[in-house]
Order: sequence, then structure tokens, then C-alpha cells
Amino acid sequence: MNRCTAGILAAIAAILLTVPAGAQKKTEADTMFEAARQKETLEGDLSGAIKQYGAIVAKYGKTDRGVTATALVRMAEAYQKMGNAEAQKIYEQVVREYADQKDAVALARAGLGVQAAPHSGGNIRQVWTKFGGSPYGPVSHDGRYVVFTSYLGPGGGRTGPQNLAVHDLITGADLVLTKNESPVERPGKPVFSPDSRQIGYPWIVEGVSEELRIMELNGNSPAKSRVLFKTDDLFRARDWSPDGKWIAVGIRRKDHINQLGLVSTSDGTLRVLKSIDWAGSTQVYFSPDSRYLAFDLPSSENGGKRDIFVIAVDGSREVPAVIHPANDRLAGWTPEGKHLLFISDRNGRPALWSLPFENGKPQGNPEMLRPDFGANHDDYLGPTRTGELYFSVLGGGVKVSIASVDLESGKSNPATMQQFTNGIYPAWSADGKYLAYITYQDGDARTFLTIYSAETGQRRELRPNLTYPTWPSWSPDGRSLLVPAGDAKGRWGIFSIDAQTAEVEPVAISGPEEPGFGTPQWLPDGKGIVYERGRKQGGDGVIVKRELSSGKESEIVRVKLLPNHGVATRGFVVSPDGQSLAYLTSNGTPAHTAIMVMPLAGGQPRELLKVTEFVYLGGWTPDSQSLLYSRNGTLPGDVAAWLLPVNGGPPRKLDLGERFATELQMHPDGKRVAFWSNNQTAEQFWVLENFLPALTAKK
Amino acid sequence: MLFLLAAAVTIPLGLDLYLPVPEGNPLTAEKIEQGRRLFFDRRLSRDGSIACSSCHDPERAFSDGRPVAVGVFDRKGRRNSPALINRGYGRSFFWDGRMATLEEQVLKPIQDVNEMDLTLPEATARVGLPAEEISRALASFVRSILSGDSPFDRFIEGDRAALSAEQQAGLAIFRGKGNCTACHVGPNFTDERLHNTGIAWRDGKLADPGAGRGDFKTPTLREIARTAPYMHDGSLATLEDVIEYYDRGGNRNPGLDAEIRPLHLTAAEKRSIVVFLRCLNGLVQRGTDTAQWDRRSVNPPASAGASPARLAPSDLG
Repeated sequence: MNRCTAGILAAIAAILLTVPAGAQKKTEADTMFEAARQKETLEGDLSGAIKQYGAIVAKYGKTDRGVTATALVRMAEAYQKMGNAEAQKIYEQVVREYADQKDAVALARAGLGVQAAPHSGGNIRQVWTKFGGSPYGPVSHDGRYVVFTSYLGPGGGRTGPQNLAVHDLITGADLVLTKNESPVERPGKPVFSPDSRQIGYPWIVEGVSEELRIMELNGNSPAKSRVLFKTDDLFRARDWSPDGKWIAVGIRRKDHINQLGLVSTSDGTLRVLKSIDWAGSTQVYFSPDSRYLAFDLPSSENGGKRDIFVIAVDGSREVPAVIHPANDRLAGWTPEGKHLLFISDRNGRPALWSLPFENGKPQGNPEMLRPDFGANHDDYLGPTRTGELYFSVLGGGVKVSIASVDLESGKSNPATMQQFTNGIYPAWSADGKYLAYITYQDGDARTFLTIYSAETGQRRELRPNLTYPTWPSWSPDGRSLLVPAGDAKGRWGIFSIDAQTAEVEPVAISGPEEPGFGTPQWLPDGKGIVYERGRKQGGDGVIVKRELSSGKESEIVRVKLLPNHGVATRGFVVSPDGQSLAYLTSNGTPAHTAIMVMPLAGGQPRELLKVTEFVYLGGWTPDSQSLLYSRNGTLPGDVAAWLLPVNGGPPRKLDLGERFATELQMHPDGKRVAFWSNNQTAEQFWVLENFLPALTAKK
Repeated sequence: MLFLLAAAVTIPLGLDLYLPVPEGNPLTAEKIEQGRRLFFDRRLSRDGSIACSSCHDPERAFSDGRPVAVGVFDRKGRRNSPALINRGYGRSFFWDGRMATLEEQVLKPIQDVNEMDLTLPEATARVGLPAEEISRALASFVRSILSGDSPFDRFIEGDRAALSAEQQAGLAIFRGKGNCTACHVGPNFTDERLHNTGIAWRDGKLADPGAGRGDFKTPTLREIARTAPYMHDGSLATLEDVIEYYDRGGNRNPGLDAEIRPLHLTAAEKRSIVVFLRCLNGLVQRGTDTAQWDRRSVNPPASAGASPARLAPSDLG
């Protein structure tokens, strides 16, 4: 569906979200269009839809030019999806004979433009850019609506309580669907019902329970919901069967085993289809006939690559579908259910591929539908019933920078700035010879570490068998790094990574009922580590010290975290001399956050700074006399760097030459600061259209 | 490899609805019954003294209560007879995981001189069936031996009264401090992998190399209270002994699995783990008739056949 078609849809479709059900009187033409759309979008029956549009043309051809032109355009578009040249004739007819119907003519011209273009696996266009939210989909089956997370936090960023919202890609209107003000509750990624009039979504109460809720989309805000299924394990909604009977869910049990299951939409009972080891599926799609579920699984414990399988919904059989050394990411089924779509880098670059699939088995070999597709894609939001493939792309990017800075004047030297793309969470080794940071790589869900040599300028990768390592902290001898991460068995905790071999050793594993640990740091004497226990959004955390020789753990201080500080920021930092601990805390209200400092050995904390906005704690200066931190600037998206003397004196702003600078880490020479900057201003929402004719052509 | 439907059995509560069955050996009621007869048929041993059931006694959750298996002419085997519980979900077979399929595995004890001591031609002649048919039938019967619907399963299903407070405490330690779920995971309480727990390390050497480095396959914990003695060599008589063994960090040896380390459990914690393990006794179903479910299990079924009835393969088209 292209933008103009969407405009026509706006004129003819019942507007589910902005008009309460029943409030708009349907005309007979509306009913006929709806029937045609039913064929086209829900049943994937393009031929049937063409007949329906033909019936509208026959009925209104002499009495209503607007309706007729619209029906012709829709008919042409259906032909276009089938790769049928009849589309061009009809578009030309609309342009030629319906000049008074401007919208329809515009659509027809656009359609002719698409027709004229040489076919190279469809055309891609951006349909939406979302600032300050997470458009994590999915898209409704008719391609009109997309669900996203709305945040209540300040500054339009991803902070504060989360709510579900829906964006109308035609009208551009947003509607917040839930009314949540709690920092410990949040929605999960939803699924649309087959008619796109309902969504099923997880409602997560951190550490307590998770519910699968069903909500009618009737234009109300907040909308009413009902609980279909409840569990104290983790689960995610994956897809709603086209026959409406099941919602596929991924469940993560407390022993870390992942399961693929079905929740009945009639009574909420759960059927576990398959237990799938420590690592689970990320993409699960029902076949259009509701008989099969396609899902992906990691091909091994030691890598981020995936293969694709298909299991019968009744549990009777399973078949490996795409097994290949490459990374194969499932993207869904074609509307008629005869092909699986997936992204694979088997030819060196990510591309869109299809695999014929009929009678419960793969038929033949995969074929490439579109080259160079998927390299920078964040997520796939499923193909619509009409065959458009929506996906999200992270706008901008993250990078680690090293800036030379004069702490007295606060000025940096742009000429000496070094930058490493896709990097976050920088950490200097104690001797200042190395900078470690976490690296994201396009098309690879796993993160890894990069070690930069400040002496030689060389960089090398360190790929531990861990998922999502963050906040590396060098051991004082520079031989290993501590990270919070998940291991191959799905457990979260703190791990030590050998800086040369990437071998991993668990240091502390969190219990099944316990939130993960935050930001572990070595004590400068190498005898122990400091980390946070019980860290979760809006909750109380405990900063603890662990002696490595005895394993003895002792509490240093209890902190209360603000909702908008959550789990994604550094909560404390130990001074280089090992004498002091700086940390963030609050009194539990959003208007009061403080940077505190206290003796590491225990004693009375002192408040250094009180703020009413988002604060990122950085590191200390080498002399342990000042702290670096970042706070929101005056412009939206700005996060400025500051220096805060711990023994008196006002904070001083640092100009590091970047609008967004966090995780400030001072080099032991006191002249260079490494930081993570984020110009990822928005997430973009794209669609690949008209790629199925390439499939038809190959046949 | 395509796996087909296990149409002939009902899946108890707690187990996966999808039971892998090889394409070449679809599960049928007839074959399961044929396999059941063979399983109890003493003609399959040299001296006619033992059948499969001699070491895999249905009364003991298909184990035998002895440290190591005893075969024809009272010959002693090397290893403990494993409980044949939920082996249809298995990924490798024997304590050392040397067989990839049940179809391969079931013929081996017949040929082992310390077990049944027949050649396949002899076995074929005695029961009047080709070896392939014996294999498929026995594998089908073993595949039908399923245990689920235990108090643990009912607890997971949402019945919070299904486990006592002490059992729930034991479950928490099982998943947490005890680190048991490092290997005993999923519906079948096994990762189906090989681990060196140190149990084969004796007097500074490996008494049994297992799969090569003193590593043995993680057994299921279903029906565990009925399958003593424990470990691949039956060297630990009770569940309490097993917990003590792991609490002290196993026998240190060069290949010891990284997950085996001193646990420092309290006496109460050890007791609660054992109490929890006992709640993994459920219903043992064998064959196609749920009336054959082993009612000797300590816990009556909450609902027989908790999973919906299966469709025949032809219904899938």
C-alpha cells in the first residue's frame, strides 16, 4: 500500500480508532468496500477482491463517480499486487476518465509510477518517524495502524511510565490506549486480532506477574481491556492466529527454559507446544490458514545466528525450514501462505528471501526477493495480509567519542576528537592504555566489546559468549573486565571476561525472583567489586560490596531510584582512590533526584547536587576531587556534560562538541574524556511494497 | 528430518504438546502394543531370564532399584539402569549419550553381553520379527512412557495449593541458590547434555570416562523419588546423599563442570529441596490406554489427559 492508497482508504474505510463503533452510518457502498477489503486484507484473496471492486464499479459506474474511481484504483492496486499488467490499464483509465476525482487520479498516477519502475523486489518508503517513543509495532493487518509505546516522562524521551498508543498512518493521529502512571508496570509488544479491531498485549508488573490482556480498539482512551491469561513467568505475545482462536506466546520459565505456546482466545488456557532450550524465539508467525507456526531459534549457544522452523499448531509435527550457517531472520508468510519470508546474509549482505512452503513442508530452495535489505533494520513488524512488509529502523546512531578537554576552561578541542560508531558505555583501563566499549553491529542482535589501544590506535573485538553485556569495568591489572550480562543459559548476573581470550566466568548470578545487577565496578585495590542489587524501575536498590576472596557481601547504602532513571543509567561510581562512592538517589518523587557522595567504608552520605531532571552519572576525575555528570540541556534532545567538585564549588559546564554526551569517563591523564553520544533522535517506520510480484515472476 | 505426530498417546499435563516422532516410525497404537509385548518378552535374552522390563520395571518408574544393571547369568553391567521416563523428548540416549535415536538405542541392550546377550539374527528368530520391526516397536513403546501431571505441574498451571510451603521453598532453592536448573531444566528437568559432575572421579582418576571426559547425560528428575539409587553408577543411595554430594561441590577433577561448586546450603534448605523433588512424582503413562496409568504414583491425577485430544496426521493435510 502506498501513501496515496492510504489516503483513499481514509476516505472509504470505517475509522476504527477515531469513531466509536456504530457512530457512523454505513452506506451500501461502504458495505461493499468493506466486503472487498475483507477479501483483500483478511483473506488475502486478491482475485475475489477484484471481483468485489468490479461489482462496485458496475453498480455505481453511472451514478457516483467518486465511488467508482475509488473502486477502480483499488482494483488496479489489487492487480498490481498480483503482478498483473491490467493494473496499468486501469490506472490510465482513471487518469483519463476521472480527472474530477483528484484523490483517485493522484493515486492512479502514483500507481503508474510504481508500474513504470523496473522491478527489483519492490519499493521501499518511509511511512512514519516517531520521536521520543518506541514504534515497536506491530502493524495492523490492513497496514493502517501501528502500535507504539508512549512515555510520560519529561522532555519527550524514553523515560517515565509507559503506555500503549496507536498511530494512524493515514490520518497521522495518535491515541493513547492505556492509562498507566506506575513505574513498575508497563505494556509489552501487542498483536492485532485478525480483523485488527482488537489487540492482545502483555501487561507486565515488574517482578510480580504478567497478564495477557485483550483490548477493543473503538476510539476510546483509555480503552477497556480484559485479562485473558496470567502467569508469574515472563511471556511475550507473538502473533494472533488468522482464525482468531489462538494467540501464540513465548514463555520464559523461571528455570530459564523458553517455551512456545498457544493461549486460547476463548478461555485463556495455555497449551505449551514446545520447550526450546535456554534461548528462545524472537519472531513467530501463524500461517495464513492458521495451521502452522513459523518461528526462529538460535543455531547454537555460541552465536547470534538463527534458523527457522515450522511447527503444526496441533503439535503434531515440526519441520526445519531454513537451516543455514548464515543468520536467517524470520519476517513472516506471504499472504497466500505458500512462502516463508526471511532476511538472510548468506550471500554476504542481508537480503530478503523466500522459501516455498506447502503441505507442511518446504518445497525447493530459497530464492532472493530483494538484495540489500535488512542491514540496518531494528525489527520486523510482520507482513500485512496484502503483502506489504513493515519494518523499523533506528534513526541516527550511537557512538563513543574521545575528546581532549581542559577542565578549567571547560573547552574541548574539536580537531582532536576521535569517534567510534555503534559504540556505547566506554571504560578506560586503570593505566589509561585501553578503552573498552560495547559495540552494536547492524543485523546482529548480539553486542560485543571493542578494545581500543590509546597507544597504537588499533581496535580489536572481544566476543564473549554473553548476551547484552553493558558497562564494562576493567580489573585494576587490566586482565579482565566485569560486565552485567546474560549467559548462554539465560541467567542474568555479573560476569568476568578475560580481556585476551574472551573466556567468561560467572561472578554473581541473580536468583529467579531477583532483578538483574547493575553497573559492577572493581575496587581500585582489586580485592573486591561493588554492584547494585535489586535494581528495577521505580524500586529500591542496594549498593553492595563483595570481597572476592571470601565471597562475603556487605551492604553499603540503600538507594531509591526514580522511574525516569530506571535500569538504563549508571547508579553509582567508585572514586579512583577507592575512598568515596558517588550515587544517585531520590526521595521517591520525580521532582527530587540527588547526587550523593559517601565514604566507601561507610559513613554519612552528603548531598552534592539536587536536580529535577534526567541525570546521567559519569566517572570521577583522576584526583577523586570532582565528578562528571550529564543532564538535559535547554534544547530537546540536548544532554550536556558537567563537572561537579565534591568539596564545594558550583558545577561547571563542559563543552564536548556533542549535543548528547553521557557516561563521561575521564582518562587517568585528566586531559581526555570518553563518552557515549546518541544522535538517535527517532525511530523510523518503513514499508516494503510490491515485492510479491517478484516472487510471482520467479515462478 | 521431519517429525510426525504422536497421535496415539495423550500428553500429560506439564509436558510439551509436540512429542518428536521420526518420520520413519510414526506412532501407532498397534506398534505401541507390539512394543509393549516385546518389552516384557524374556525370549529376547540368551537364557530367557530377563526382558527389558527386568531392568526397567514399571513399578519403579522403569528403573530397577539396583546400583548397576544385572543381565543374563547374573552378569553385572557398568552403569545404573536409567528410568525410561519421557524419553520420547530425549535428544541422545544412554548415560554417555552415544545413540542419537531411540530406534538405535533399543536394540543395544539386546546385543550387550552383560545385558541380554543375543545377536540380532537370534532375536529376530526368537520373536519372529525383523530387527527393524523390533526396533520400531520397542522405540514406540518407550516413546509412550510419559510422566507428568505432578503437583509441580499443577502448581505451574496456577494451582498455588498444589505445593506445600516447604515444597515451594525447595523449588526456589532448586532454581536459585542450589543452581540445579543449570542442568535440570524444562518440562523434563534435563538439558539433555553431558556434564562432568565429578561422580566418576575415584582415587585420582576417572573410574568411567562416560562420553570421554567423565561426562554423563543429565537424567530427568521426573519420578526421581522412585528411581533410587542415583547417578550413572548408582553410587548414591538416597536423594539426601545426592544433595549432600552437590552441596560439597562434587569431586574436584580436571574436567569438573563449571556449574558444580560448593553451595553452602543449610540443613533446612537441603531438606526442602528433597521435599520438592518428591513432588515430581506424577502419573506414569505407558502405552495407549490411559487406564494403564500407574496409579501407584504418590499423587493422584488432577485431570487425566490434560492436553487436548490430538488430531490424526491426515487431518493436517
